[in-house]
Amino acid sequence: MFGMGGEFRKVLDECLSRMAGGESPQACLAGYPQHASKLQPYLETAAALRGLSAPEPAASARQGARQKLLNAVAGVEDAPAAGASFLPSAMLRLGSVGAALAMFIVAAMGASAFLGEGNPVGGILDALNVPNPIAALIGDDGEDDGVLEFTGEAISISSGGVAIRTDDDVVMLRYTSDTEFEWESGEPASAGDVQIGMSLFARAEPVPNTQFFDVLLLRLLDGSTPSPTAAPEPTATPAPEATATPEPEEPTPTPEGDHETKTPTPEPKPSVCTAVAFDGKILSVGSGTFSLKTEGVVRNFGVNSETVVLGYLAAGIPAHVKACKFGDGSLVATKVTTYPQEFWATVVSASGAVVTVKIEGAGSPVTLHKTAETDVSGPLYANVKVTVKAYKKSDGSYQALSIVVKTTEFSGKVSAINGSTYTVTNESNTYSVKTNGETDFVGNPVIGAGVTVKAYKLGDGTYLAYKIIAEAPPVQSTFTGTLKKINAAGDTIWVELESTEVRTVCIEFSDVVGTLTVGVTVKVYVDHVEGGTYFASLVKVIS
Amino acid sequence: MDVQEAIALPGSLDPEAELIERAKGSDRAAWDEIFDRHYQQVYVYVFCRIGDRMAAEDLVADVFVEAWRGIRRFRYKGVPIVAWLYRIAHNETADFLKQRSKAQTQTLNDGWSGIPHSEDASERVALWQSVAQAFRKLTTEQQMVLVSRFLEGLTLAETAEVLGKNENAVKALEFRALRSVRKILAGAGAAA
Repeated sequence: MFGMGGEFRKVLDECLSRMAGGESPQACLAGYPQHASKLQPYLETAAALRGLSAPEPAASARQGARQKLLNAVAGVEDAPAAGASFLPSAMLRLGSVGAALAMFIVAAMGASAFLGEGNPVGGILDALNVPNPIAALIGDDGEDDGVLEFTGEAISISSGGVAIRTDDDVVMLRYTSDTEFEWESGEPASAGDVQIGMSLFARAEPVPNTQFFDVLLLRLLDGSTPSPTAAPEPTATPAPEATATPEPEEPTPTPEGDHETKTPTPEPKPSVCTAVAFDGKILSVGSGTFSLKTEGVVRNFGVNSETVVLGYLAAGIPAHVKACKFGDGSLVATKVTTYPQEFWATVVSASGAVVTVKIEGAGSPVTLHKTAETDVSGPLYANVKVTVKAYKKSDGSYQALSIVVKTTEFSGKVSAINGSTYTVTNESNTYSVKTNGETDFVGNPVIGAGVTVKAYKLGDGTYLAYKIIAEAPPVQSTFTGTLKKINAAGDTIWVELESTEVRTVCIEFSDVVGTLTVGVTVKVYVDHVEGGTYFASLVKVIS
Repeated sequence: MDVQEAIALPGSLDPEAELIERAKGSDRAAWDEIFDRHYQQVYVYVFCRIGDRMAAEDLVADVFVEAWRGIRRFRYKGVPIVAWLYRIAHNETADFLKQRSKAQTQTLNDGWSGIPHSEDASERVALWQSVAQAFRKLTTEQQMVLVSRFLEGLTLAETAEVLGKNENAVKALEFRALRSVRKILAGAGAAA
């Protein structure tokens, strides 16, 4: 009776193998009529499952998944979802030295643009022997065809392509024989028409395993393109009118040593302007002016009502400045693009639209202003570490674009529990993990249990867990006990261990060595445990 | 690696171990290889659990990124990395299903990309929804066995290798899973 489980299993296994070879369930059932009633449900279910086939994933989805993975490996990730493990952007991953290097690279690209050398970005990076940290896959035309769209400004050009700066990143576009060039008006253009500083729209396909995109269409958005090398034609200007010098008046007694003559002479106003562009760091901001340090040179710019400022003019922040250079050398900014700063900080307090944080490595806390557009990821508990992306304002506060709560994940064993605080230890570290009413517990993390902790990092070096996943306790591979009971179907036994614990053991699919009778000692080889029942792969009668 | 291979190639690493070490070193080619080898398996597994093609495509992308994030914690003990990917997939789909149930939305009509024959598409979608629901009631290992054996068409030996178990263990899981699926689907049919 107790060998039937083993025999049935052999028959079932044989039938499943034959069905895998193309045979129908009915053919196998016909061969084993004594097992047919028990066999049939299994074979029918197996046939139904074999008949299903999952729909193929879209090729673009597969490509997108691959690119997402390779971007992560390259250190360039999409912005994390709320509560997910956060990895810093490429600049932060490199650390402060790396961030400085990355800024140098950006400045170098701008410098080469200014000099008109058109050095390929890759050439600069190759010379520095640094992998490009800031090329990223962005933009989506919303269509599931693998083609992406980018809009940005050309910052470096070569005969083979162009690097453009979009809102967040630098994208490297490669020309191919299929690339079409056109002006915004629709008239055909050519690669030679692309100039540094020009606004461009591109439709491009990612080149697998590289950071490049092959351009399908490049649209030059600027309406006209003054040649960067040709000097503008001087326009005729009226000669300045001579100003009549006022007749000297009768000298009137003046205080001793105090005499002043004013002879106003209006300066001729230069009307010719050359478009120039600079990348650098704003040094100071005054009323109607600001100074920018670029390549060691400090330049002063005027600001008027037509100057477009993206972000805020504030000292100490990097900026890209487009300006008009007049004949007298003066510069008036036409467009200033400031870049948001990214930094780590610890939340001091959060109330409404104002978050006070202490920037890592800085002194006093600063104020972050939130708006409806600010992307806040995670709860802003006091003392939680965050990564902030924000524009610095002239008053020293920041306009936050994003505030991302820093999360981390680690595994280990629970070595102590003190109230709501767990101590988790692994080979390399001991973690103090706080929990609160929001913590999601999966399983039972008792002392000794293996756990995976997903947590927010706090400013004091401890952690606040938002999820603790306890591993299932390890299952003994074998145990020995006395056979206490066998059910009528002969597929379940109850075994009492020395500790008097009684375990339910399913032997339906087990091999049995010896004769199972109540009172014998058995050794149970455990396959798996489910719902408190031990499923044995083998039961051996010992005595 | 069997004895003959060990003698023939002294000191050489198990190819899977070598691939994992390269992946830990952020070797793009290693990750490319891992992706190519296991994307389809993971996708089928995820799809079987949630029955929604587009959501499955998104989740599979997240699975591989999570694998990248966690690779340094992964300890290779002879079990192929795909088993670990299945576990990550299991967690990712669990989170997804939890969020979906909170949002109280269903995507019953969006799980199928279209089959080029005359079968009723809505019946097919409904079938997959039932299968996915049944699937989710199984243990992780039972799900892995069903995907490997019946949807991927792997042999017993191949499935055992993928899951890092012996063949008897796979058989036991298979039998239990088939019975459970049968009961769940029969119960669902009776309720309907």
